[in-house]
Amino acid sequence: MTFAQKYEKIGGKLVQVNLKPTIRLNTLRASANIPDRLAAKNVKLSKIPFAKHGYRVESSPFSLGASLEYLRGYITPQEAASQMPVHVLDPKPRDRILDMAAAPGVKTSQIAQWMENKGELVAIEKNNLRVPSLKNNLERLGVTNCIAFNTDASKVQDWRISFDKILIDAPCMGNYMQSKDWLGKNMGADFKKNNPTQKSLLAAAVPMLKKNGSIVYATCSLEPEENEMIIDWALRELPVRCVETGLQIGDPGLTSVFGKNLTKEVSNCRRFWPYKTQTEGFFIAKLVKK
Amino acid sequence: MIEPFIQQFTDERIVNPNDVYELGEEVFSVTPNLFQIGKDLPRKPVFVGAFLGRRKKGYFVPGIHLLDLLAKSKTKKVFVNNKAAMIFVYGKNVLKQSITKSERNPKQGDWVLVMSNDDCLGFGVVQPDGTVRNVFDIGDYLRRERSTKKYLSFHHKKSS
Repeated sequence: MTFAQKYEKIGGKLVQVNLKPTIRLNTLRASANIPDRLAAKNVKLSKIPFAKHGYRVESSPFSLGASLEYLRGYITPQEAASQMPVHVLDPKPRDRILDMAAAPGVKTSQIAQWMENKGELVAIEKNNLRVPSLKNNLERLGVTNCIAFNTDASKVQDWRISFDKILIDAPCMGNYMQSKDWLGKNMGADFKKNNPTQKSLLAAAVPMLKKNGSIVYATCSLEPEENEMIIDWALRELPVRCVETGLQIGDPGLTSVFGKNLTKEVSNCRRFWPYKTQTEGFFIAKLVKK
Repeated sequence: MIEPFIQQFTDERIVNPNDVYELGEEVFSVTPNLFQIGKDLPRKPVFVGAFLGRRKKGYFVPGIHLLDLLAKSKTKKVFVNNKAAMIFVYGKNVLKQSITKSERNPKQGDWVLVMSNDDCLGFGVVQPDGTVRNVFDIGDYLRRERSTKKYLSFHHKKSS
């Protein structure tokens, strides 16, 4: 079965969408009116209506990734859908938050931004090769409330610490909008290969969560095997409920996948089909500890 | 090492010595809460609090947070035009004619912050001909990120 056939079976479509680059305005550093400043340099931005600090780059005479505004940490490239998990997490300045798969640190810094650099943010990255990019971004984007570790987040349940909120930006196979050869590369790939990690991260997160605390589970994948089916597993195996994300964008999570019926609560998740949301493919679930 | 570096610019106490925490070659400013978390957890962190800078080959290389603290203090500064600002963050020196304004009368041999409006771009040393020799600029982040990507792609190719 091709990806196109698979997506049709679950009510979607494989449609290439021409996405414009997107940035997030980093209010931890940006005090001046950066969109106006960029406009004066002939950079045309448009506000992304559903992303609090998100802008689409309509046109720019130079690469924003090498601009003074980037180097000073006023802006950072971040895809529109990828800005949404932190909206669902809704970090507050007094929270203690865990980011379980933190590199390259763009969402970690977004969490710190919502926390106004207050409270405590613990970031974990397993892959030591990705730690330098995590540190560089935390530094450039002015994060000062974070403590980061290079370890396996699925093995930290015995750490004597509890959290108000946990983000699991889970390792996944990505989606066809991320690169031109994604479909070719993944035709024969086993999309279930990340499932053990995804489940072990969720299983490790729940004991570290305070009562009524919340977990946001997100992937940049469109595969139900990495998304709805993982949440269905969590609802059956872990003391959690799946609640509304509060997002207006995206479709409800699937509750019937390839002839298998999933727990109804899974419909509270949000699924981002690129041709509907004009973003990358994405999936977001919010779980609350019972 | 951080104190002698700061003293090149200002006598003001811009960092509380009690908050300074060293992790290998890297220096951070850490709040008591974060420090306690680091102490309670069984693993050594790789990053904690506000990054102040790192020791490299016997020198102290500041982070952007420390540069901003310095920029708020009474220190010598040169302000440069937009073109010179872009050239400076690519590691080049500041020509005398690119300096639009200076503060606290910088002289030959002085360490000065290089500013573009309110943005601190790095620092340098004033030369006899009035140019400012680039010692450190914030383009360092981009250069480091590129070398990290090169390193990652090398390892990716090696492992695939």
